[in-house]
Amino acid sequence: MDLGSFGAILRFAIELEEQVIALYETSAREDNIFSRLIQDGKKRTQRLERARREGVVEMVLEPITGFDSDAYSVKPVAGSNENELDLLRMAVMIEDTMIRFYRDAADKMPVLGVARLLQRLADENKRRKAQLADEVGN
Amino acid sequence: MESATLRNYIDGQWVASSSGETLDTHDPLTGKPVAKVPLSTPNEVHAAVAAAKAAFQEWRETPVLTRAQHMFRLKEVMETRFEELAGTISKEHGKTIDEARGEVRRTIENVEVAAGAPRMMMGYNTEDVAAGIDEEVVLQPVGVFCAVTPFNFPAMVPFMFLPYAVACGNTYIVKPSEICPAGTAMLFDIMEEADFPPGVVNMIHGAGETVDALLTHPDVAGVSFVGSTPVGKHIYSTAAAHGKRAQSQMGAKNCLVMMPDAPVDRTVPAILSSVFGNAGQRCLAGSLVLAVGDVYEPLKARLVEAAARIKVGGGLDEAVQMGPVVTHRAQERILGYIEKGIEEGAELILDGRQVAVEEHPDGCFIGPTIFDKVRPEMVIAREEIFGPVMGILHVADFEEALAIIESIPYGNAASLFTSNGKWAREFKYRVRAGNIGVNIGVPAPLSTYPLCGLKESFHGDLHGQGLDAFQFFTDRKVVITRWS
Repeated sequence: MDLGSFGAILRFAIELEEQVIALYETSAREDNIFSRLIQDGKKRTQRLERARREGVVEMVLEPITGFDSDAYSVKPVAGSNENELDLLRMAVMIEDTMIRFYRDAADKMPVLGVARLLQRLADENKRRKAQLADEVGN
Repeated sequence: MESATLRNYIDGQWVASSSGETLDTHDPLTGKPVAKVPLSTPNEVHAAVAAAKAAFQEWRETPVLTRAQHMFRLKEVMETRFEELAGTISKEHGKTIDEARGEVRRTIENVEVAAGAPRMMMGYNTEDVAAGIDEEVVLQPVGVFCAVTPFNFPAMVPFMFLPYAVACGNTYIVKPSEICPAGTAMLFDIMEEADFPPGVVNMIHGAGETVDALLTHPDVAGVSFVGSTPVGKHIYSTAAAHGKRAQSQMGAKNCLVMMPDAPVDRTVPAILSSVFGNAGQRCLAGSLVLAVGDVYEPLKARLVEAAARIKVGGGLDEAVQMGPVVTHRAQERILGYIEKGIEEGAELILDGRQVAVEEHPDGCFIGPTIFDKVRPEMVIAREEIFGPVMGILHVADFEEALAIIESIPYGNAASLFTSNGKWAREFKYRVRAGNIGVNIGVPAPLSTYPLCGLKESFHGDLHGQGLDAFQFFTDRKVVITRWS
C-alpha cells in the first residue's frame, strides 16, 4: 500500500504494532521477554494513536511520495515459530524490519514532532532487538 | 429507504421541527440523498432564542472558573470521540480522513484556548485617577449570540466562535450548513455529553428564512458568519440595521507568489496542499500561482507532474490524497469555471474533468486541474472557484505580482515563497490580505490568533478565535468610584 499521507503512515504503524503484539502473544509467559515486549507495544500503540490525533494540522498536510508498506511486512514465514528459539530469531528479524520502517517513516514525515516520535520508536526497536539477540545467545 | 430528518437542539433537548419543508443532504461519493434538513420556522427560531435568553442569567452568574471546567470536560469528550467525529466529517463532506482529523484538532484547539477565559476576562484598573477616585474596566458577557456556518469546516468554524462566547458567559445558537450539518450536529451531541446546562448551547437547522429570523430577533445580541461574500454582506448589513454586533468572514481568491530564489522542490508540496487540500474548498486555499521570472517554466513542469500523481478517491481511504467536492451541484459549478477558463483562452495543462474513481462511479469528483497562461482580467483569475483548480500566471517581477494581488477584490490570504528576507518583509508589509504566509501555503492561524481577512473577504472589526473572540463576546464597562 502506498503510504502517501500522514494518516496512512500512522495507520500502518499502528497495524504493525498490533500484528507484532499478536505474534508475540503466542509465546508470552509471565515475565518472559515477549510479555514485556507486549506491554511495551501497547504503550507504543497508544503513543501512535495520540500522535495521529494531535500531530495533524492543516498546514502540514503535504503529499508524501515514494513510500510503500510492502517493504515492511512482518508476516511470519511458515514453520518459523514452532519453538521459542525460532520465535526469538524471527522476532529479531521483525524488530529489524520495524527499525527500518520507523527510520524511513521519520524521514518522510512532514510533522516534526511526529517524525521525532517515529525516530524514538526506531531507537526503542534497536534496544528490543539487542535484548532479543541476547536471549537467542543464551 | 426514507432518509431521516435531522432534529434541532433547543434547551437541552433534541426536538423535531414542525416545518414540513426540508432540503436533502447528499453523499459526495454517490450523489444520493442521506438526510433531510428541516427549514425551521421563525417560531422555532424564537423558541431557540427564548431558551438561550432564559439560560443566560444563570450562566453569566456561573463563576468563570466553572465555565472553564465545562471547556475542559468538553475537550475530554471530544478527544474520546475524535475518530468518530473525524469519520463523520469525512463521510459527509468528502474530505480525506487526515483533513478531517486536522479539522477536529483545530476544533479542540479552540476549546482549549477558550478555557483560558478566567485570564482573558480580567479587566484593568487605576487608583487615584483623581484624589480618592479609582477607575476600572470590567468585562461582562453580553447575551445571546448566534453563528451561521458553512459546509467546508462543519466542526471547526462553529467552534471558532461558540467556545469563546460560552466561556465568556454568553449563550449560543448555531445555524449549521444545510449541505453538511451532521458534523455540527455531532458536536451538539458531544456538548450534551459534556453536560452543558439546558439552553446554553442550541442548534437550529434551516436556510435563508431561518437566518433572517435570527438576524432580526430583538433578543439576539450578535452574529458570526463564515461563507460567501454576497451572503456575508447581507448578514452584516441586516445585523447592523438591527443594532447587533456582527463579523462576516467571506469569500477569497488567494495568490501564491513564487520568487525565483525559492527552492522549487520544497515549495511544490506546499503549493499543491494549498490549492488541492480539501479539494480546494476552503477560504485559505491558494488559487492563483504567480510565478516570477525564470522560475515559471521549472515550477510549472513540477506542479503538473506532481498534481497528476495526486490520488483521488473516497475520503475514508487512507491512501487517498484528495476527496470529492461536496455535491454534484458544486461539481457542476466548478466544471462551469473550467469551461469558462478554456473559453477565455487560458491553456488547460492538467484536466481534472475526466478523473475516474472506479469504486465510486457516481461520486462528485474533479481531479487536480491546472490552467496556464491565465491573465488577471479573466473570470477564473477574479472569482472564487472553491474547487481544485489552479491558475498559473507568469509575471515579470515582484511588483507585478503585488499589483495583481491588489487588483483582486478579496483579501483573505496571500503567500510568498522566497529565500530573501527583503521580499518577505515587503510582502507582509504591503499586501492587503488578512492572513499572510511566508514559505507557508496555507496560512491558517493557530486558535490563539484571529482568523483575519481584509477587503471583500471580511466585514467587521473583531474576528473569530484568539483575543478578538474574547473581545467580540464581551462588553467593556468603565466603573469610576469615590468612597472618601
